[in-house]
Amino acid sequence: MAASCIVGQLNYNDLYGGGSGRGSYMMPHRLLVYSTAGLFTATGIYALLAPQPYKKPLKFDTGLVHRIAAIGATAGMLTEVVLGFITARTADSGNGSGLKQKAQIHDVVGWTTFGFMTIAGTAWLF
Amino acid sequence: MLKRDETTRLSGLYAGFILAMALAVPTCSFGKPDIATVPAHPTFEIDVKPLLADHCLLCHGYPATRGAPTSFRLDVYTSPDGLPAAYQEASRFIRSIQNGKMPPSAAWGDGVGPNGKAMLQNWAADGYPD
Repeated sequence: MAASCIVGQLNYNDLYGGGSGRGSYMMPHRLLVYSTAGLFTATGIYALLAPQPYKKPLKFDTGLVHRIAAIGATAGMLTEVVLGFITARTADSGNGSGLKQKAQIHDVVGWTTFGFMTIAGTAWLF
Repeated sequence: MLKRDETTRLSGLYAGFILAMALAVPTCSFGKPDIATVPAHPTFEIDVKPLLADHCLLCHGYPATRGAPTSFRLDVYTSPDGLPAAYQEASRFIRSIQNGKMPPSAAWGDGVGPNGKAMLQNWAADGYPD
């Protein structure tokens, strides 16, 4: 996910942020996001298939933080898939209208999703 | 904590969201709309260039971007820098558009519309006038 975000940012800078515009990061970004989405889906399925935990009272602990962050990351990841698809389709149609704005939203949601995932992962460790 | 049935319900919601998006997004159009009328005798500057601007020049302008080949440009009729331009490349790019190979998302229904294709055919029939 970190690699996807970093290469995605490089891709954004190249295409919209005054870079060469040659699209050198397009394919690496595409391959990384496919891998990230695949790994995220596999991890999500693994979590859903996990045994029912012991009952315990609701309180603010790392388990709750992990779950909230994981839900946020899942929602972000789904949004990213849709936004990425829309942005790529718009660019592939040759339509430059509003393309930068779509890419910007995709960029911001991507980093937010990465933030949720980092929190979920850190909370899971502790 | 979320109970198992709540988790299952949330999973169902996510799955429903994915399915809805998977069904909805491909049916949406993200390209520019087709031209309204087909000119009988189109010219490059008045008719063809605006069509190329809508569908091609994002990548095939000058300089070429997004991994497009740098060996030609479509933003001008003939190029002052010696690169093959729209006139020299006309038959090739028209064939790509007619075949649905270009723009890349033509396969998704975001290509040049029937009126645009008919206009390019008329332009070719007239010998690609400037």
